[in-house]
Amino acid sequence: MKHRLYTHTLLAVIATIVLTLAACTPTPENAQESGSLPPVYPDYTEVTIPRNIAPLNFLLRDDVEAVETRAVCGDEEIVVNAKGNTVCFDLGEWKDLMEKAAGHQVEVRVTALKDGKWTAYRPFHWTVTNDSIDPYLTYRLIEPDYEVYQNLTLQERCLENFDERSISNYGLVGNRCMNCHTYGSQNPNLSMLYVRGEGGGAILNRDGHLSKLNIKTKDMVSGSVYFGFSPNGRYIVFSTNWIIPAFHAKPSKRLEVFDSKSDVYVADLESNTILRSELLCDSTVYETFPTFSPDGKSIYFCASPKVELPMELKEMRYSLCRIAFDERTGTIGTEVDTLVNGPADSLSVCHPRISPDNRYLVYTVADYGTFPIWHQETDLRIMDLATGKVDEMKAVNSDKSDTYHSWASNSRWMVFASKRDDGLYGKPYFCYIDSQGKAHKPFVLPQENPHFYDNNLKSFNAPEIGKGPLPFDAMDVKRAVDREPVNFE
Amino acid sequence: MPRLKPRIIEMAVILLWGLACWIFFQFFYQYHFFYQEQNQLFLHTSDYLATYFQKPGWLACMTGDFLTQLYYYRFAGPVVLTFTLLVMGDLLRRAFGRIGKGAWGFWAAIALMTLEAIFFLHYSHRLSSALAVILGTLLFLVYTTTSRMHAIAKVVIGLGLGLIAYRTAGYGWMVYALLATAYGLVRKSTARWWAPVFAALVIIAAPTLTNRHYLLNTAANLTYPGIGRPCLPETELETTLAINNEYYFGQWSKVEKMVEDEPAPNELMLFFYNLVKAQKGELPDHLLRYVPNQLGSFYKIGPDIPLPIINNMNELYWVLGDMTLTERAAMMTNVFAPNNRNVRMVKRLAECNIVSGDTLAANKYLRILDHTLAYREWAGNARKGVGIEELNRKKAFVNHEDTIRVTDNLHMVMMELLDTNPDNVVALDYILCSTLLLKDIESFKRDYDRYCIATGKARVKPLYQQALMIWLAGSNASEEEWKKYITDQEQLHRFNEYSQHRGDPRFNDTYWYYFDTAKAPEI
Repeated sequence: MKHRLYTHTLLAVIATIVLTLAACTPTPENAQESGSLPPVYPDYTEVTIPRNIAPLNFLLRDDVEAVETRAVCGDEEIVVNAKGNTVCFDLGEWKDLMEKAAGHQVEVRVTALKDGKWTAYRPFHWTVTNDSIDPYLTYRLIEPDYEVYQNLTLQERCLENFDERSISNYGLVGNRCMNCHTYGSQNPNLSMLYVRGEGGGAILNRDGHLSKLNIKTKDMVSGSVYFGFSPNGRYIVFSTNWIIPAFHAKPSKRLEVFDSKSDVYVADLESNTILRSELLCDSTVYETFPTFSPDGKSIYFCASPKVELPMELKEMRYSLCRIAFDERTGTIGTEVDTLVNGPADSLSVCHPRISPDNRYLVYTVADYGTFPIWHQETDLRIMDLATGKVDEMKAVNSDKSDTYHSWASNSRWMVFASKRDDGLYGKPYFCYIDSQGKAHKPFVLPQENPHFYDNNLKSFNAPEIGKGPLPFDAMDVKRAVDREPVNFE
Repeated sequence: MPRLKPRIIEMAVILLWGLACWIFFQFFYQYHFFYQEQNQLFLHTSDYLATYFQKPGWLACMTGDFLTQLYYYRFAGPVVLTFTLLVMGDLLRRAFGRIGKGAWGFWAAIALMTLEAIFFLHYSHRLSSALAVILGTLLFLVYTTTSRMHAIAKVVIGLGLGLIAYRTAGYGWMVYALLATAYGLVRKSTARWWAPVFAALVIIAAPTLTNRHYLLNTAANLTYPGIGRPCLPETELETTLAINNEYYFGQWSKVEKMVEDEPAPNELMLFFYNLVKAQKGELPDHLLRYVPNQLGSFYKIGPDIPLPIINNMNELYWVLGDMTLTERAAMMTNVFAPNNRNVRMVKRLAECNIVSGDTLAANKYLRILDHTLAYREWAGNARKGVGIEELNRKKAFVNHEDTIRVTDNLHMVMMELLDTNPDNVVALDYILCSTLLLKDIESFKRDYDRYCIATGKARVKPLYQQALMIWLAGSNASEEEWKKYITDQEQLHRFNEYSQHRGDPRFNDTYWYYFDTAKAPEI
């Protein structure tokens, strides 16, 4: 009897607390219509999103007391009433809404309470595509600098929720430099990352088995820097770059990095040998940013004629080039095609990446040089490989650096690093390329707490999309680093 | 004479210990606290607080860092530390009292408090470490309340509290396990076997189970956030930090006095002394006061440079007015700070972006400072344009022309700054004094001509007059040239006298003497 009394009392107290809390969250009354869009951060207005994306939680950049958000698609509706300026959706409700909204638009109505008055902002929309995005993303978290590092970590994030984990971490491999993690054809069972420093190397993941490779040979100017897998996973094409850091006197331009030497090679991961071509190691040319075409028949790369550095740095302009490759025999072609002539067009091409369906090639253009991440003018461009037509992707680019892009396996989604918010910290943005090759307005990687980006002091570096979770973790990488390397000839 | 009661003696000892601790840290070690405070960025946000759960000892670390932010306020650090150590001692005394009777527990607690206080002599020892001991001891005291319970309940509660100790107190789990083992052995209770078993389990299981989760190696995992080590008082570092911090607080006269009172100031002290003198327009008047001297203009920032020097470089670039390099040095100070967070550098990043007119970047850092306790008022004011007069003044110094610098050769940087703004006297004195320290008379003369003669703004200082005489004499200059450059007749008279007695220590305040006898810094 006494026990039951306690239980009832406890339940009554809990119910009272819950009801009191619920009653404390104000709901709109006599809201005044406003013709302007709500000041949402991140900018999720009129964006195109995949049906399987995590909730687009956001905040209002205003000193509001409460906010109500209604996300409506047909008869499906999510309502979020919250005190303060933060809007966070329930993951389950969000998933239901996305399933219903696939192929349609969601209308988002935001009403906010400020100084005791409710304002109903002009609704905005989310276009939800039937095309899903590959559900995993890897990136490096690093301060926005280039030559110094401390406490680096490579992360993997599930795009369908907010789960994140470390796939290589300074706490386990020592305070080493770590470079980008790259998938082979978005396949989580084929990927590679670099752990630099003494005893480091390229950590190759094949079906979760990690091996350490020493790809550098004596004739190379450095270890491998930018690389990409061939479709069958037997080869990687990579550049070796002698990188020089520099500074701009003008504070708005900040940093500059350029290569004083660079070459391109192919490594055969089966025979542990290096394939060389004079056309890719020309001493009068800087070759860099190599990647295989998804059919394995070509290597795309960027090349600039040698200039006097640093005096002629602003004349250092890279062209987009292509050379044939036979994946069956491991033979590099004998002629280089120029697809975009950098010096002639007064631009510098970087980071060519081809859609897995071999239809589109997206590349970065800057005014000059080879380090677009610090060039605010850097933009993405898309080339239709069937027609050669180039689009400037105006819906995607910003007035800050937009670069380091990577495709999803269905060739409909792309991620890239953009500094559009503050000019300093790169963040992963996703953009939809429809079947006509039209690029839609991108959205930033959603975070569980929408204040995350405001308080974050790390750049998201070299984001890459993967089809599934990687079959290893940071502890496995530590063990691989401790092993003896496989040397290349 | 009546004997004093032991309780009164204990109270008196505690009182005296606390007073001695506070006096030492307040009057002889206070600047170490500012170092701790600036090398973190404690944000009052839920997502920041959630990051503490990613490592062991979240409660000890969160509470420790929360209290460390209070060190910003003068007097707060020694008070917080003394209070923490007294709480630690009191809990240990109580814990020892539960283990056995007699006065030994009191004196053992005093000894451990003193040992922990000695750990705090090291600049990097965190308050969280003392809190780890406090939490471990507190959980042990909770465990001792189970003495009348069934043996199985005691074991279950004991192990549970041990796990809580590991999760919330980091290495406080060791304190808990040690106290419980001693308690079990003395009282012949179940703890005499489960506590060592618990300790063994943690040591065995942590590498396989939690290293992966916490992303730590085994040693760091088991001893997080750091046990500490005995250390002698870092008196030179304390003086260096004092000078650094008084400079930060704008107490220039204190900086000058502290350096001048030092029998042999180190290069970091001299660096700040010169910064103060340069801003007062007196750098050439004091350059030769200390030989060898340290302007900071020959440092090259890189991964091998110690953090205090990178930090200093940020101050030098800031004073000179180069916002590109100020921002970079501030970023790098952040990079090399523990957990890559330094609150003063976040403020500096906001400041330099306000100066360079990059509103988006400035707002990024102002928003972060909005979530701090000590800097939020400054951020709010800066946003309204209040209290940033110095920043507005610096806008005139910002480079308008863009060039690309392959190294952080400060000579080139200062030339660019002077080309942009010939009234930048600090940059002028630094460029001229730097070349003089190197005994590079040709470069000195070139720069003097470019920024003093060609601009019609001759900077007549004894040091510069003396250096010009070396050039004039060395180049067999005409009388007209001597007249053009040398206006201080007293210096001319002394030069003639010195020429008869080269290397005479009576002239040790002159550049001629430095030029003839001192060793130029190697760069």
